[in-house]
Amino acid sequence: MAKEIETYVKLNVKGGLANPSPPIGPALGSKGVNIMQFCKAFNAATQHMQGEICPVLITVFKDKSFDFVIKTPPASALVMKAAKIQLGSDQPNRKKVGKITWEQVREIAEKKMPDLNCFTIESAMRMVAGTARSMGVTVEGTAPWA
Amino acid sequence: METQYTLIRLRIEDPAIADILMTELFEQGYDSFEEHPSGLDAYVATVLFDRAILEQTLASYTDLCAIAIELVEPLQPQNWNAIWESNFQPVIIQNRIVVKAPFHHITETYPHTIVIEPKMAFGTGHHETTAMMLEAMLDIELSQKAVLDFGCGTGILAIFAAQNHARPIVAIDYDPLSTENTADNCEVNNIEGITILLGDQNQIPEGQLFDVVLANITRNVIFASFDRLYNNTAPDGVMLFSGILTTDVPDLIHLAEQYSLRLQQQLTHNNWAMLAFRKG
Repeated sequence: MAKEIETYVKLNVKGGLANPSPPIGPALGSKGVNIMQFCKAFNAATQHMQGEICPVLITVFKDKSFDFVIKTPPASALVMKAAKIQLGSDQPNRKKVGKITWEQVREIAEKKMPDLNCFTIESAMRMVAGTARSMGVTVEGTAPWA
Repeated sequence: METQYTLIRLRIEDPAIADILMTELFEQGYDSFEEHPSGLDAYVATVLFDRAILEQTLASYTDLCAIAIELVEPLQPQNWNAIWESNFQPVIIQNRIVVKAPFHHITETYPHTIVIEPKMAFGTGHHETTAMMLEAMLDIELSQKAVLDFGCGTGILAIFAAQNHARPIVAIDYDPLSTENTADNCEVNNIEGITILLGDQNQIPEGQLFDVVLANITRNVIFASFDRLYNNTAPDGVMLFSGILTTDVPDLIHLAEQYSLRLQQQLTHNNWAMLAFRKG
C-alpha cells in the first residue's frame, strides 16, 4: 500500500549546500522530518549544481519519512544566465536591459518543459519570453510562430 | 556562532513575478525560499538584510502585479530538528552496535553502545552512510591506532574509535554546531582525549599521520580534500569514504588509483556507498 502523504513542501535551496538552518529547519523540522537526513540526500543529489538555486519538491509522509524531486532552475535564472546579465542590489533589474534570442528561449523552454503546465514547446516559449520581458530582457528577432 | 536569519513573507499575486523576484533576491544574497500559493517566504542572513533595498527591488515590479511585504521576522537560532530528535528510534548495526539517545532504555545487550544527542549535527546511524562506516570500522583494528574523523558531525565515528581504544583521535568539522555536539556526546559517553577542531582540511594537523582516516561527508568535499587526507594517512593506513552515491564510486576509485591506493572494501545500501582503501 502506498504511504499516506501528509504534505508537500516546495523549497529553493543552494545546491550541495543544504544545512539545517532556515528554511529547511522550520519547513521540515516542524513536520517531524529528520532534517539532517534530508540535507545529506539533497546535497548528494545536487552536488553538480553547487551554489546554484535548486527548486526541490519534498513529499512528507504521515510516518515522517520523505521523498523529494529536484526541479529545473527558475526560468528567470536561466534567462539571466542566457542574457549574461547580473542583478545587483543597487540596481533593480528592470533598468538593466539584456537581450536573448528566440533560439535561447527555445533552449530554456525545452529545459523547463518537465515542470511547466505546457503541452507544446510553443506555449512554453511564450511563457519564457514573458518572464524575460518582465525582467527587462528583450527577445531579439521574430517569434518562430509569427 | 550560528547564522541568524530573517524571514520575509511576501505576497505576490503572479507566480511568474514571484519566480523573477526569487532569482533577483538570490542574487542579492538571500539564502533560500519556501514557495506558497500566495507568494514566497524568503530567508536571508540578518546581517545582509536591508529593508530599503528590498522595497526598492519590489517597487520595480509593482506595476506588473500586486506585491506586499506581509511579515519581517528575525528568527532566533534554535534546534529545528528537535521534534525528530525527541523521538527517534535506536539503531542496531550488524547486531553488534547500538546507537541510542539518552532517553532510550534498551533491555538487550550489545558489544558496543553509543549514546548520541544529535542537536542538528549529522550522524545518528539512521543514515546508510553512517551505518556503513560503523560496519566497516567493526572489522578494523582500532586499538592504539591514530584516527582522523574528518567531518565528524555528532562525533559518532570518533566516539566509536575511542571506545575501541584508538588514540590519538582528531575530529574536525566546519560547522560549530557539530564540534559543540561532538564535545557534548563525548561527555555523554564518558570519552576523553578526542581533539576536536573547527574548520576545513587546513585544520588537519600538518605532518601528523593517521592509521585510520574517516571521511563521511560529500563527494565534493572528499574530492577537494583528498590530497590532504592522503598525505595525512600513515603508510599502510586505511581510508574510509562515505557520503557518496553509488554513481560516484567509479570516479572515487579512479582518483584513488592515481594515488596507488588499494580498494579493500566496498559497501552499498540504497544508492549510497562506502569505500575503504589501503595505502601502500
